Amino acid sequence: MKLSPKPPKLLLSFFRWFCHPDYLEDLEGDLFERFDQNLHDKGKNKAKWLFTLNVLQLFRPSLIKPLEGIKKLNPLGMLNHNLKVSIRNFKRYQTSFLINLIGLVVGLVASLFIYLWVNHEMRMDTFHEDSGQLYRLVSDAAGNETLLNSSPRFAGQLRSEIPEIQLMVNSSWGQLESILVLNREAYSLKGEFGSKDFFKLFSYPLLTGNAESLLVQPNSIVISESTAIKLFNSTDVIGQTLEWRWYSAVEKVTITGIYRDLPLTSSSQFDYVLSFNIFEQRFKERIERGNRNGRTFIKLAKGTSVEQVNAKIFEISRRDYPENTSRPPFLIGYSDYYLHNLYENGRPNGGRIALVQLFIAIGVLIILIACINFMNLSTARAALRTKEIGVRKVIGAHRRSLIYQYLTESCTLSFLAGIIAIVFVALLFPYFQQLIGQKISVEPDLNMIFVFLGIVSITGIVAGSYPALYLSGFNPLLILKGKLTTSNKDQWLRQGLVVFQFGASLVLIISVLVVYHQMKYVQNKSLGYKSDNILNFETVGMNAQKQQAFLSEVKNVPGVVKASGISHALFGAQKSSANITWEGKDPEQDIWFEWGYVDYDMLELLKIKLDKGRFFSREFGNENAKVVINKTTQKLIGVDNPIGLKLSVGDSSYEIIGVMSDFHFQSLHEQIKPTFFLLNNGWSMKLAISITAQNRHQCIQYIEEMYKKFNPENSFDYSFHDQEVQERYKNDEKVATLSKYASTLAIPISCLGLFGLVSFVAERRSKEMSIRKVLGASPSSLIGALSKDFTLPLSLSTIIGSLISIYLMSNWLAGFAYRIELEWWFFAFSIVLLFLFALLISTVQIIKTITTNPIDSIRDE
Amino acid sequence: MEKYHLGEFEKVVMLTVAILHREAYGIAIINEMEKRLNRKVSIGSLQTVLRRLEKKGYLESELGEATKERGGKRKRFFSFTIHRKRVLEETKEQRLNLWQAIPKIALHKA
Repeated sequence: MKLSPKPPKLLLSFFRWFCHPDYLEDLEGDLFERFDQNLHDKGKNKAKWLFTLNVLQLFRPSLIKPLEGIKKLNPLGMLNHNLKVSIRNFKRYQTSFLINLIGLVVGLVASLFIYLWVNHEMRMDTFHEDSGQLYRLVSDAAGNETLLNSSPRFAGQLRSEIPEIQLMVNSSWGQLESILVLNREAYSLKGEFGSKDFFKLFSYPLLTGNAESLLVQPNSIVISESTAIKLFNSTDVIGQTLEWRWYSAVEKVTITGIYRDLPLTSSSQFDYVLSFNIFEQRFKERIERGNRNGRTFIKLAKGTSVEQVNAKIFEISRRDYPENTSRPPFLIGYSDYYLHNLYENGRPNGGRIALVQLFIAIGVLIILIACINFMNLSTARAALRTKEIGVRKVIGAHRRSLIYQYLTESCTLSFLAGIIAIVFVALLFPYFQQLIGQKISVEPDLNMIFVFLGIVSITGIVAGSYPALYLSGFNPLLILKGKLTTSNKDQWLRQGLVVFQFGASLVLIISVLVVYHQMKYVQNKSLGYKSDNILNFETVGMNAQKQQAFLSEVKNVPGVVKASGISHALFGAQKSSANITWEGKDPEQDIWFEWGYVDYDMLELLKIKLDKGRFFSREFGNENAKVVINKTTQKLIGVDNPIGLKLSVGDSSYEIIGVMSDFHFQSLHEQIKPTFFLLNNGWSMKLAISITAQNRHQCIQYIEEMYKKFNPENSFDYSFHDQEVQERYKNDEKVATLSKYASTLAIPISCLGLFGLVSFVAERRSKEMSIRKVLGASPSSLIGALSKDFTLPLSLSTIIGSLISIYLMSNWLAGFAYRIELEWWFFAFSIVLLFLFALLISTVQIIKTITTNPIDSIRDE
Repeated sequence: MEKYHLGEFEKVVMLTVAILHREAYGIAIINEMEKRLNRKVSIGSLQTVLRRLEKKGYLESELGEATKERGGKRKRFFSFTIHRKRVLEETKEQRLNLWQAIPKIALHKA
């Protein structure tokens, strides 16, 4: 029999592919019948052609397979069902539900706080319009630290030569603590300088005044709303004049506008802005010399590449200052600077961003530890739910719908936890701000809601994914026959998760210990000078004569030990490589010194120890050509006894009269620098008074009264030197608090997880234990049998955790030039602590199991 | 009144299904329509209409027995629901009434 021609295969399979499965059979039959008819009536070719046409005509929306799949289950119904099952399960296994919930709530609270903080940090300085176009002109100093200041003269040159610069604002080297006087009443406020486009370049919101003209007039001042309220108790103060004082400078200034109080997301906080002309006049010579004593802010035209502008700056600098071979100034993003505030060779290298990253890492870690609780407990419970899974599968549940079911369960849990967490976050927010010592701006917006939903659902999915994939993969036949046994692999995984949890907790505990001890070391390490009970303050409005009179008077105040002056903040400031030379110095050597002018008695006041020679003393007449160096400088010079040698600073030459033992003026992050002191001519920028520890309060009161007598127009704003020392470790303190709180969160969560796991295993093995007991096993052997499951993973986690923390902590300590060693007992103590927690938790459960009457658990079989 | 107004082609398909009575499956309907109305109908357009009518409840369908013909595929037979039959009859009567209401003179003129 001759085979009749068949319809084209390719088209047929195309048809089978697109056609709705419900219609496939009869339509295919129709096609075949039609084809046969046509074959009979019209011949083979025509029939094939018509078949093609027919197939193509069937390709229409009403007949093709729906995109979302064939089985149209009611998704809402399934969701409803899944939710119901989830809630029933929560009710049924309350312990594990509570463990999971508490763990997740704690984890989410922590990570939401961290998110709020990170979000705040990331938004820093981005509120300015076109903040992406704002830059700051900076230059390198000492190779690895960025000197942020720039030369106003050089900036002016750039402005005229680089057309891409749209706006440029010059400012002082930093904010100035200065005094505003209104009707003889003095207010100590933080001031900023700005040239005329200040308010055009930055978008600080204005209350009154026009951004175009605020700082155009010389001697104009723009004050903040709260300053206006403080001074005038009114905001209608345009045109009023004030007196501005800073050291010996006094200027009359006119208010031209008021800006709203600065948002918390502004890294720069100031009470008023003065027009730059005042600064320019006062430091005219230095500016003309090209000193880098200002800050320059630049707005580039839209679409300008900063690299190109930097290249231009490079060219201009090389062309005009060929003798200067160090890296020329360059631009960095204005809003980038807040987080990336450490630079190395012109490239951002850490800074505050490291802290942000650390926070994020800790947040993720805590959430992960909480997720692991869920994974562990639900896979452990799998044995109890296998029947449910088997029955579902037999009835026809797809693997996918089982996966959905478990994900629904975990997401329900995480959303529940999320809602509770939000309540906690709202309640605890003020405490959180206190904790990190920083005000945080929270502006709820759509983005924040998305991030919240994101965090919560990712948590749910991460927590649920493993159980979902694991449980849905069971073979229904084996389950229902009761032959399903949990394999070694599952146990490994579960124990692996416990290892991770406890390893992470261990790392946190060890970090707390190490950070705590380093901070204690930092606080207690002898700085080489006396730092406690020293008051220091800036001398606004006092000339040399007045200062000297004040200093000699104040010594008579009961409680005052010594009083003296110094040219800069007591704590590390001036650095200069000013051509400092001595006999036999390698001319290539470029060393940075710390130096300053001190008054008589200053070194005695600070109780700096003398190694050789003597300090400045009035007994020796004029000592202006003498210098006292520290030990590091002596080593640098390379002479055993440098007394009498000459040290040249610029054109002047000084005779070395004394060598001081080394002391830490800088934070302990830094090596001690070569330091020397010269004698000042009676006037100091800062005065310091050391007082006795007793009756501090009264003593300060006396000093204040005395100060008022000498300087009635200015307030007495002092600070304690040891508090300033503390300020240096603000970031480190944050790390300390963070690790403390992170570990207090992580350890309980991990322990909760272990508790759940132990109680589950104890429950599952209760029959085994009862039989052992009946056969005469001793309680101790029962404990051994039960705890065997946990000792191995715990031991493993101690090894891994210790290794990781050795790595992390030695990295952190490397940031300190003076640091503690990692002691073995840090690790031993943490491990013992962790084991103790774990033991305590598991023994409670284990004892419960072995003390139950064996009859209770074996009678029903 | 019906909410859904049947189009002309839909009505023709329904009538044809009625004519074929119990033998109304895809190709048979097409053949019948081609024979009676001298009208080309593609499988695609017919099937779309049939499924739509079924969805709206005007038609019912069930699969027949498998035979050796048609590559062993079963036929899907369409039939009327009783209720719908009545609706169709009503429509027919309404139309007839309309026809009868036309004055004879109008027809003559045309």
